[in-house]
Amino acid sequence: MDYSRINSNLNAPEARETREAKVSVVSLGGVQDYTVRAGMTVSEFKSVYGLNGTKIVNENGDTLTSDAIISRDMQVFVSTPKKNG
Amino acid sequence: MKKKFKKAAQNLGLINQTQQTVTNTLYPITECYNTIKHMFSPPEVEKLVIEPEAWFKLMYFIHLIGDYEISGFGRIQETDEEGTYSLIDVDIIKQTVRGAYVESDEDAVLDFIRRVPVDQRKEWTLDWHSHVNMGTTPSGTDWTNYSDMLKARSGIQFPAMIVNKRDEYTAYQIISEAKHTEIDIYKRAIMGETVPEERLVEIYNECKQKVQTLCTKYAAATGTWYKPQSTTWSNNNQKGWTYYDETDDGYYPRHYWEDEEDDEVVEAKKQGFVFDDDDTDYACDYCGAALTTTEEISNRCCKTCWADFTNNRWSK
Repeated sequence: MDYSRINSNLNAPEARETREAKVSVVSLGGVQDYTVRAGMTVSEFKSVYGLNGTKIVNENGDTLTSDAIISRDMQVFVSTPKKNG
Repeated sequence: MKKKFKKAAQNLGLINQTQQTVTNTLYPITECYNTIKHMFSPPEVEKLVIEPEAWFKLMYFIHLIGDYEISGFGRIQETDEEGTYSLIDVDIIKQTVRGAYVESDEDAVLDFIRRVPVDQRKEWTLDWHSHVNMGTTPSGTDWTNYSDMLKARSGIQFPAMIVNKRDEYTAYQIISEAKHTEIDIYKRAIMGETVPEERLVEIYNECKQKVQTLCTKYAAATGTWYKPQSTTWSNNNQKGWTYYDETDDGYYPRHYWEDEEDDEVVEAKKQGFVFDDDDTDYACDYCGAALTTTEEISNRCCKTCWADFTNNRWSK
């Protein structure tokens, strides 16, 4: 087996790029783009970018659960309840 | 299901607890990148000029809903003068309105975000609501929600405005949880420019239709009998129907509290222990004091903290 060829393919720029995912977050504050590592969970994403307590849905309107994995470029929408008194 | 009495008994050590294994995390930190990135930004909005059509819409919304609060978002555009923005449009979202409280769930906010055109997303940033006939100083509930809104906006500052039926305004630029600056409000409507009568009728009908379809008036649960698993209410005190108490988590049958009393709790009561209602939904958002009056519960703020806000004792 040619391990040198396998290693060079794994370390190729194209391969490295596929291990990242671009997340475009649309909220009341506009659009924020984040580049995260592919395989990050939604829970981790929320924690890293201070979005705990918010609801995140994808382009299709499906709610992303905490254990959902970010594996590709995507656009998500973030919201929170509005309570005034 | 809530286990209030059991939790209180545990706190008193009346129930033997198994030894728990504590796992120490390697990284005991709180992520704060977005928070710090934006918290020292200078205020973007220092002066807000309300354009005539936006002002009429705002007033129509506030008066059409009657003696209830109403909330929504506003569209602002930057002018040639630095720090000065124009409020050119306002809109409301699906909400439950009360005399001193108005609430929209996250789905309603999400619907609004999704329907805003892409090129306007950065403009629909104003967060507004009305205080009917009360003063326009933000309440404890308002400050809490501004903090939540800041998080949902990835820490990006935004303007917030409160208005009442007396045409009084208070507006702040919310920069961070601990920092906000005051915004000066100007109304171009009173500076001579008016809206044609035909356009006013259009705006009025548009606002009326939105209020009728998007605003639901909250009806107090006390004294109302709910049929289980039904969305219809009835005052019919039929046998087999259960009196429900409403909580923020849903409806709980009242008899649940009376039946669920563990032996340990009974024993504790015999020894003279008193179990207070520790429902945090009725505690002041700021000092944690128990809230006893309807006004305090609606504001989620005790009288002392409310007086502090009113007298602006809290630093900006």
